[in-house]
Formats: sequence, C-alpha cells, structure tokens
Amino acid sequence: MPWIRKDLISIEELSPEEILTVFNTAESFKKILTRKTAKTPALRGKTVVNLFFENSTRTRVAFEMAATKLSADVMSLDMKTSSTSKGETLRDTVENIRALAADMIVIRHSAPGSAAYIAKVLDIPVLNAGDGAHEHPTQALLDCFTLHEKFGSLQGLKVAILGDILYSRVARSNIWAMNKLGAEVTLVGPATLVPREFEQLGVTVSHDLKSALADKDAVMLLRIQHERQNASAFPSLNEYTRMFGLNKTRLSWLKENAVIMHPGPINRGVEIDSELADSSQSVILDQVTNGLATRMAALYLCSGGSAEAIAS
Amino acid sequence: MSPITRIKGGRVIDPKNKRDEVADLYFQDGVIVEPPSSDSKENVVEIDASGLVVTPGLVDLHVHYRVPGQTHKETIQTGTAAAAAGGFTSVVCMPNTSPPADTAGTIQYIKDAVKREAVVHVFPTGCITVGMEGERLAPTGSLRNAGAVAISDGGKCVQNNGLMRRAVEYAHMFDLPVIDHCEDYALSADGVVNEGYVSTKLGLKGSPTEAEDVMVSRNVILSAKTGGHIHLQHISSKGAIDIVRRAKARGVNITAEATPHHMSFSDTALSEFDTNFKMNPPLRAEEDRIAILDGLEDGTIDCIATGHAPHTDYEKDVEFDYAPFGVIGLETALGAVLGELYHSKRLSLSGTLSLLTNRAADVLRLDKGSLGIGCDADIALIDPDLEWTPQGDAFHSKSENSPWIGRLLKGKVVTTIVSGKTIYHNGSILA
Amino acid sequence: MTIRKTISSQEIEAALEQMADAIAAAHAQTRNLVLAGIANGGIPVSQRLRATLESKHGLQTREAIVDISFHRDDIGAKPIGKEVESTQFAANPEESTIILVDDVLFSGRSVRAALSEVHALGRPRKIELATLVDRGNRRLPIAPNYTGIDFPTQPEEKVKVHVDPENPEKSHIDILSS
Repeated sequence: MPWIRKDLISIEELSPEEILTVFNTAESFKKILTRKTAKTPALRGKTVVNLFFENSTRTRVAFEMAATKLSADVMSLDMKTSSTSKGETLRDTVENIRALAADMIVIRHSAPGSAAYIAKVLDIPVLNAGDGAHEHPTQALLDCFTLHEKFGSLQGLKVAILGDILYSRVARSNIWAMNKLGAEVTLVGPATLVPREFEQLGVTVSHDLKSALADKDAVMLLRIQHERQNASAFPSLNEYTRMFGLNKTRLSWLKENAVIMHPGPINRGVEIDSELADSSQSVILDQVTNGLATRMAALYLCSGGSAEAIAS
Repeated sequence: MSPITRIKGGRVIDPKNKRDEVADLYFQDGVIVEPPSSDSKENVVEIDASGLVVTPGLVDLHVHYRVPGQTHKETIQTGTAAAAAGGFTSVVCMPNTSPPADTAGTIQYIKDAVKREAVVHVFPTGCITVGMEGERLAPTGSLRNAGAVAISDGGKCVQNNGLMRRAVEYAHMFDLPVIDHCEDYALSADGVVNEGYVSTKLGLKGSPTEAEDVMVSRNVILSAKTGGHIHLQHISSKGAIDIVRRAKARGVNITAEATPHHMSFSDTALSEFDTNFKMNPPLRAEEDRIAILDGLEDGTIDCIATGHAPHTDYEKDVEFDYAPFGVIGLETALGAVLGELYHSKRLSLSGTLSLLTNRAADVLRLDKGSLGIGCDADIALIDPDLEWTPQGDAFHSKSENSPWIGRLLKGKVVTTIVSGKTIYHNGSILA
Repeated sequence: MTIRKTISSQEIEAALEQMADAIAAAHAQTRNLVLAGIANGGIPVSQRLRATLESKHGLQTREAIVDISFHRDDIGAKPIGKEVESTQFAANPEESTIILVDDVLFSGRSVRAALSEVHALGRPRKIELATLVDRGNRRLPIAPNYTGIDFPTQPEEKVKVHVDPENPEKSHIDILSS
C-alpha cells in the first residue's frame, strides 16, 4: 500500500499493512546491498541530519550508513555537547537546523514524546531513533523484519521478550509491532522490571522463566540498563544472571529451532551466556544487517512527506 | 450614604443561608443590606439579573500568583483579573514564590502588591518550613501576625514526619490550618504522569497513587494525634478519598479539596504528550476521577479549588519531561464544575455552587461565601447554561496553560461584583 | 475524465505480435537476450512478448524486472505512491543484450531511470527499448527500437493500459481526456 506518512514516530500509529510495506521496501534494499555497487541514488541531493541527544553509536551509525547508501548527505550532531547545554530549547534547536536546509531529521532523545513534538514543529520528515522509554520504531521494524524473513510471517509466532521491560522503548515498539502482525508476546523478567500494567498492552506478563520460555519460537533479550537504574530494581547483576540470564539449559526450554535476538549492545555473561550469542540459533548479526535495510526503507518512505503536506 | 444597588429579578442562590429563590438582592457601601422599606426615599441603582443566577462570589483556596519573583508568569493584577473573569471574588495564594513567603516581610510584600493591584480579595499563606526545604520550621507565629491565613509548603510536601508533626502541633497553637500537598517523594520518584496504562504505553515515568495515599494517611494520623487542622490539597486518588472518608467518620480534623481538572480528565487525555495536561498530582485513572466526583457528592471532599498555576508558553512548549507541572484554572472552573456536577445531574445547582463558595470559605474560616445581611457584597451573576469555548488569547491570566482550550464548556460568569463594585462584566475587567 | 478512445484486445494482440516479429528478426542470432519489464506496467507486456517470441519464433529469452523506484527524479517531492517491485535478473546483465519493455512511452523519464538501475547492476552489451504505446510528448532524447502502437496524445491526457497475460481477450487501452 502507498506510504503517506511524513514521519516515523511510533509503531503504535502504524497499520499492519504499513509495517509490511516497510518490510517489502527493506527487502528490495537488502538486495541492493548485495550488489557490487551497493548504493542507490534515491535520496541524492537530500540532507539527513541525525540529532542525537543521547549517546548511541550503534543506532547513529546505522542511520548514517542507511542515508549514505541512499546517496543522501548526512550529518550527525552530538547534541549533548551542543547549544542545548547552553539552555537552548528543543524547538529553537530544531528550527535552526531546519533553517540550515536539512531535508530530514533523525532524532534520539531521552524524553518520551520528543520526536512527536518536533514532528509537529517541523514540516520536514522526522524519524524517531528512540524517545526515552516510549518507542524505538526502526528497532522493532528490523526485529520483526528479521522474524518475518526467518519464519515467513509473524502470524501465530510465540515470542518471549526477556529483561528490562519497564525502561525499554525497544520492548514497547516490539509489543505493538508483534501484536499487529499476529504474534503472541510474553514478557518475562523480575517483577520490578516487568510490571503487570503491561498486560493492558495485550501481552502476557510472567516472572517465571521456565514457563515463559516453553514453546517459544523466539526469545528477544533486552539489555539490562544498570546505568539507568538509580533506584535498584533488583539486587545485583549477578543475581539477575542467576535468575534470568539465558544459558544453555534455559535455551533448551524454547522450541528446538527457536532464535535468539538481542538489539545490542550485549552484556556478555549478564543477560546471555557468551557462547549462545555466537551460536547458530543467534540472529543477532542478521538484526544488524536488517537494521541497515530497514532504516533505508524508513528514510526512503518518509522522504516524500505526507499527502496532506503536498496538497496544501 | 451612597445609593442602594438592587440586583433585580435574578435567581438568588445562597447555599450558606439555604436560599434559592427568584428575588431582588440589595447592597450599599459594599455590604449586603435589607430591602429598603416601601416609603424609603433613597436612590436605588438597578442591575438587571433576570435570567441569571445571583450567587456569592466564588472562593478559591488554591492559586499561585507568582508574586514576588515570577511576574513573567502572573502578577497580582493579572491573577486577580483572571479570578474576577471566572466569578471568583476571594482567593488564597500559595507561598511558593521566589523567594518563598517564609518571612513576615514577604507576606507584607505580597499584601502591598495586593493593595496596589488586586481587583478581588487575596488571602496570603506562609511557608511551613524555611525556603520550603522541609528542614526547619518557618516563623509560623510571625507569618500569622503578618496576615497569613494558613501555612503550606506550596507545591512541596514535608517528607520528615517528625517535622510535620511539630509543624501541625505548633500551628494548632495559633489555630492556623496546615495545608499540605500530599506526595511521598520516594514513591513518586521522578514520575511525571500517573502510574498505570498511560505511563506504561507512553514510556513516561509514572507516579503511583500510593505516593499520595501514604501522605494522606500520614496527615490523618498526625491530625488525629495533635488535633491540628490539616487541609489536603488537590486530592486525586480513590485510595486517598477513601482514607479521608473514614477519617472524617471518626471526627479527625481534616479537610480536602479537589480540582476541576482532576474532576474532568483522566490520564488518557495525555495521549498526545500535551504539556497542558501535566500537573502534580497527575491526572489519574478514570476510577479515580469517578471517586473524586463521588467524594464531592457525599461531602468527603469539602470544596473545589483550582490550583491555578500559570506558566508561560515558552516554559510549557518543551519536551514533556521538562515542562513545569500545573495548569491555570480560574477562568474555566465554573463551567467545568457545573458540567461535571450540575449538568451531569449529580448535584443541584445550589449544592454545586456551595462547593465553590461557602464550603470553600468554611475550610479556612474566611468570612466569605455568603449573601447574608451584613456580608461583603461579593457577588457573581452567572449563566449556568451559557455555552462557550475557551481560547488561549482570551484569558485574562498572563499565561495560557489551560487544558480546556478548544473544549466546549457550559456555564459562565456574566458579572462579578467585589465589595459592591462591578469588577467584571461580559468579558471585560472594569476596574 | 472521459474516455476519448479505447484500443481493443485484437489491436493490442496484433501490435504485440508485430513487435515480437521485429524483435525476432533483429535478434535471431543474439545470445543471452533478456526482456526486462519496467515495473509495474512493463511486466505483463514483457511476459506477453516472451511468450509470443517462444511460441511463434522459437526464440528463448531470459526474464527480468527493472524497478525504477529509487531512480525517479521526483523522490522527496511527493509521497511514495507505489510499492517497490524489486529488480530481478535471471541472467547476468553484464553479458546480456537487454530489451527494456514498458507499456507506455511518454516523457522518457522512466526509461532514463531504468537505464540507471540497469547500470547499477553492471554494463550490458547492448540495451534496446520496446514500448506497447508511444504517446509522444518526449522530454528526454529517448526513442524506442520497437513500437506497438503510435498514438499521439495531449500532455494532459491519460493513457491507461491493461494487458492481461492470462486472458489476452480482456486486454484494453483507454485514452482519457479531461
């Protein structure tokens, strides 16, 4: 179906058909990435500005690479060291960057709603690369695209998401995406990081690892963000690993050919045994490659602006 | 003697004196008077109130007027103009100014500004603790002597229970109520919205209702212990209301208020990250909103207060996490409250207005909220059925941070009279 | 818009056959001949031509699809209106002779984009162009090698081609005027 969005802010707002349009487009880009000249002129002459108010080498590089493969000019600004520390408001910052002839903006910010906020302020496409604990739509798109490739469809797939759900935008975006695509999602982890409130998003909440992993086609591990937890939600990393870390025995609780996913960066030895991360069941590096194709798709699809904007 | 004014032909609703009838109301020299005898030769000036409700000027126990120190948000002039435009003739202003009103000098400063600029009656409050820091008691007696009608730490809550006990005990000696914003900071953490479905969905940090409930319980226990009067501000959770209901049943000396926004909205109004819906306590779940309406209906909650908290557009036009808490409410309160209580048929018109007049005044024993003979001629002429839609630039407040912008309200003040002087009429301040 | 003219399935079939004849005559000896339909309209036309080349002339050709989505010169100016149909080549384009096939030749911009897409994959020996309808109004220096129907139009008119490889009798072309 045609894509009429100027922005990619959340998975919540996307229809299942729109998600499949992203997958379809990403598939094409993935083929292009295998060519001798792995580059298309789609966004030639456009300038994509990555505004990162929070550190994230991985996501920033993936977006830079995606824009480069689309022949866009790309500029990444580390906003932590920029004018915001001098007291400039977000609105003023982005309006200034817009005035410098940016054509698209990719934003990573610690405040939930910040991407939606600047998408309202600006007339150019805005892509959310993570807004606090709210959403990280391109991550969920690449995760579900990986499952879509692996299993043909997410319909009826059983997926466990394990780890720090409370503070995770990745979990929230994946819950929306997987539900929309027909997968069954179980969240599992310590009660303090996996509160019951999530059940209202249409998922199962469990604090028992064995029953939660039983019969799952995939397990997605989330990074334990111990750097974010000022009030400790669990006693220690060591205890977390003992209770909820994925090891060989626990892997056997899943379906035989279940896949292991992780958005990275991995804490080897904390949420996952090191050898499992490199095992044949791990699709962690597929996720990274798919991240490039998915972000190319997102940039390409949003580049046209919205139908209303064009009409007016 | 100046001429007598006759407010003619209106429906006089005076809940304090259990009056609800179509009648003429007379005042002279700023006070309500008996009707003149038929052979009186005195001059009579007439105000036509036919088709309108004539009620005591509204009383708001909770406004933030930002004087001294933050006059970019609001001044006494603009704040009292907003009050008059909402039908309020008496307001109690909170001490979380800059600097906080923790000395007699600052109370005097506020009173001087009120004398110069105010168009309605303004009653200041002083701080519970020095600098509202929750560590040492402010000079309560001196604050009382300077004119503070109660003590409060504004938008802050004294966390130290021992200190709070001393504050209530000490203030009780002067018969001075203690007004508290009930919030346990360890439980609310850095919450910016109610903890629940909406916080889960939006990824915003949630503040659980228990953060409020714990402190409401604390205050009930300390009031019972000391006998001191504690007034609970903007009570918002079902649990807290239940605690108050049971405490009142056994005669604990506590009172509580609710705001029009907590009566009107639940946290689902927040889906767009609109900072005009960011306040503390946050908008709660629908079951909490219903509990507030029930609490107002059965008298558990004593009155309605707006919590009028002005912030400029540039302060609110930021990321949700960084926006200040609070919304303005003086100019929209009447319409919002009538909608939730009167037009919804929960309460009579008199019962509804009572929560904005005599019952509010009674909480702090202010000599207001009555149309009895000899009372100040503070009067509001209202049209309870007038439909209107608030617009940001039409507010008299200096700020426009209202969640009601663009929403249809039913009920509006037409004329506001303060001490016998018409201050507001049909959209304009006349003072 | 109103239909100014409808071209029947018989006329379309005749045009396709005549194109196939011309292609067969020119490429009797060509090795690695590829018929590349320009997505999406060129795909069924290419299918029909390949079928006719095989059945009537015994000429085997390789199939390909050329997607021009990422080479359009109006990306960023309007929403992405159609889904991507990935470029696919059954043969290595480097050693092929490629006939680009489209349903309608108009400004020439699609052909320009298709040439770019093919060159992103490699350097073919030769590229030709076949179009079912040439409606005129070229904006680029591009001319077809094989044309089914010459039908001059006004720029504001629309040409809607429906070629149905499964049911050729249902094929038709409408020329719409405002």
